[in-house]
Amino acid sequence: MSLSPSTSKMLSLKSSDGKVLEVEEHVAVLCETIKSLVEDGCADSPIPLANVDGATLGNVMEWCKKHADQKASADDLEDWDAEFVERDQGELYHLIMAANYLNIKGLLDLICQKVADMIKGKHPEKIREIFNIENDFTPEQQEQIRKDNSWAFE
Amino acid sequence: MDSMTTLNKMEHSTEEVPQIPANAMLDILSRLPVKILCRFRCVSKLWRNYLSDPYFFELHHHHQSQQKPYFVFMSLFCDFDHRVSPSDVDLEFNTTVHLSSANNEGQPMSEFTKQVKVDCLLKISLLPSHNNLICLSTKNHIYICNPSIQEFFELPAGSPFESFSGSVGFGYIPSTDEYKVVRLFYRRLDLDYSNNCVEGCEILTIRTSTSYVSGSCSSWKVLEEDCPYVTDNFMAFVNGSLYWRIDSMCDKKDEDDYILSFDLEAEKFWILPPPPCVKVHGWFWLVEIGEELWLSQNGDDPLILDMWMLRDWDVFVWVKEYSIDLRTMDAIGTLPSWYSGHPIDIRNEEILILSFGERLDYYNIKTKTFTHLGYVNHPFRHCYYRESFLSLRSI
Repeated sequence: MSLSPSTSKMLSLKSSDGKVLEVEEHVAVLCETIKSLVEDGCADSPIPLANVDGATLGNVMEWCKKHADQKASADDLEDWDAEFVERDQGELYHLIMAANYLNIKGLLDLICQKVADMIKGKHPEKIREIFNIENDFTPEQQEQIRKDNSWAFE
Repeated sequence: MDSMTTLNKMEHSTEEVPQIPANAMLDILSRLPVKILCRFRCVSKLWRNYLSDPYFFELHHHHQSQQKPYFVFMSLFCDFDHRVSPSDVDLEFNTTVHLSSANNEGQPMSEFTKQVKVDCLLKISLLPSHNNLICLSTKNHIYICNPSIQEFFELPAGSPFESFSGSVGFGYIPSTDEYKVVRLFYRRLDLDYSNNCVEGCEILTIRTSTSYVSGSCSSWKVLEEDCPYVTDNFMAFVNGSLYWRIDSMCDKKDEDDYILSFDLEAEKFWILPPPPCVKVHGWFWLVEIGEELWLSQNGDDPLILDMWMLRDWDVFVWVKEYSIDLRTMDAIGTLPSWYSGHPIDIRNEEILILSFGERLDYYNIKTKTFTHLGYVNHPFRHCYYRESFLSLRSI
């Protein structure tokens, strides 16, 4: 199947909040999930994406468009990506969920690395706050884990 | 565009923070160094389970092996004058090894210290494996270390015969998932060092479990084939083979033999042809940088550092890539010229150079200028490693 820009047709994607986005096929197929739909010939009607809201879908397609551009050099993409991930936490999480659901390895890699860099220097307390995690240890259990991994807390 | 971005943020901030799917969360965590992950075990029960799971260790190993390796730097502290005189070589004493690691961007990761037994501080080697473990060898003792979890083990003693220079090699074989420690030792103790000397070779194998959690080690196995030459203790490990400098005092079967190599998987010695400059100037340094074999040498002018890289492994073509004038460094007038410097690493168009055994500088390839980083304790060693949870407690 030829997916070159010149022959690319438009696909419409429908977000969870009912927004419809028209995207060139060669851009949208960077999402493996959409690619398999296209290949199976199931991409005619607006494709419903139940797990992606309109704003996030817009961001995802912006990324796909840049990465589908064959004129962009590797350096160019790297700089562009670095700017692309400068977002608040909420947006990054939505992008992770979308990249995961739409199966876009490059985007998932990019955002996961960004989040990893973000949490690298943080204390466990701060980590709970960032990911909205409840501390389900008793103080004794907590102390035991600190003791067992004492070298890591030095 | 601006108003659009603001709108996006507003839409999201009114919602609850979504829960990141487990596979994405594990992906994020597998990018972090081990020390930080061990600290994160106290975040919650779920995280403790994630971060103690062999499946996660495997994922982490896989992720780390695709990234640029980390670095370990070693310096030593002891009560003795480290420039031990030759008559003191049989004296063994405890010394503190200080190991510091840095990530692939050069940021410091962790520091720890261990006690080791040495006889002469100059004959202590830090050997890389291209993988999780590193090896530290002194004349009579060999230690294996996983810097990520700060584990440190002494290997069982090898043949009672001594090794003149502590010639030990170490490396990892991906196809069999094994680490091999190669020890060269004197067959007979009464051999006259300056004559036709024969060294034996023995190997100890460390196998890792499938999920890279633990390792087990064999006992020493002596090779039938003798080592053809006596070597110095400086070593590099590149492309599946170990490389030693052949000792210049040693009688050579062929006068063009300068570099002894050992194929770790096949367990065979071979001779690597050096670049032509080696015959003229003798002394050289072998180092692995970015999984390539480099040879550095000071030519006619001891303050010019030439760097050669082995470009072709089939016909052994060496190419002189850089020629660095050390005189453009600050304040070198008072330092000895007999040991001027060697490269440690190259990244972002800069070469990290250790000069005069104690100072570190970055040399910019484009501008040909130095940036002074600081001084290190002498002797100073470094090697690459990759982060992992691999524990040697069961060895």
